[in-house]
Amino acid sequence: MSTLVISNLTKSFHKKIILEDVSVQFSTGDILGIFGRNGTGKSTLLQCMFGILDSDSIVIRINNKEINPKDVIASKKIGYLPQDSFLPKEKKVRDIIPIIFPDGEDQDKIFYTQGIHKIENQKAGTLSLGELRYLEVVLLCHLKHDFLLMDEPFSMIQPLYKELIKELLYTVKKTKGIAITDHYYQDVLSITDTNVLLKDRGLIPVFDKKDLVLYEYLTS
Amino acid sequence: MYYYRAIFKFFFDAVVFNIVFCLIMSLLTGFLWSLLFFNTVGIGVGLIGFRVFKNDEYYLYANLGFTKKNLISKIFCIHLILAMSILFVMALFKIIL
Repeated sequence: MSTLVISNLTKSFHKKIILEDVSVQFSTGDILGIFGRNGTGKSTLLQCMFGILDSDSIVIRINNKEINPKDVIASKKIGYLPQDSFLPKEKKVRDIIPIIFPDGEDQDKIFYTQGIHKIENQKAGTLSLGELRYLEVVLLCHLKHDFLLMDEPFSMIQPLYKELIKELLYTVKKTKGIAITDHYYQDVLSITDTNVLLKDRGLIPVFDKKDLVLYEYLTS
Repeated sequence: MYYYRAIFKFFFDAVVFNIVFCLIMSLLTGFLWSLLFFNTVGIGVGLIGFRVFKNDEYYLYANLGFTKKNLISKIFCIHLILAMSILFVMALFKIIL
């Protein structure tokens, strides 16, 4: 079992502090839900954890071993699903898969994943939002990383693909630790083991919808 | 496991902007100068073009373990090999002719 521990995370933009001394941890086998109103710093938190955004201060430990934030990407321990699509729109799905998975066996696993066969001859740019998001989640889930950070995997997705994504995440959580942030709180709550709410620059543990109402993320 | 397809994809995506820049420069300054631009200023133009039009794709490379710095250094290496090859071919032509 691997454990990712983030501590002492502070991030500010032009003297405005977004995150202050934030700490969070999760292990393989866990799905962590991160809630928060727009502008509270959910995406910033994930980007700092992924090392693609510089933070004012951060300590990242994987299995008690400290990692320099600049080395997180190269370590290939953490994968990141950004809000916007990161796949080359001009490429067909069947051509994108070998770019990410040079190994033939790994490619087969992707091609045989439910729902991929019917889109393999389409260009990424012509896929529907749901198909594209599902493809991205499938690709990320098959990478060897121990941890996945997912920024809005359920946003604007039709129920069929939401269910496929949930099923997939539920399967891969046996070998990965996953952090999800999304405003579709019911979908997130249905698959998470622990949840936190980002409010007033810090994280508050939450357990259910009642807590989200209590801390004014939801109105009722 | 080496992601040579990913690296060449990044190179070709960036080099497209470089080629367009060099074609324009060749009309203004001539072919030989455009070759020089291709392997110097053009690299920067290619990277800026990628950043403007394909910035989101950096996440694809990041998920494969490549930082921006890492990708840029690889692009410079490819261009260095290209520049050496071009010089070699030009020298060869000079000897033959």
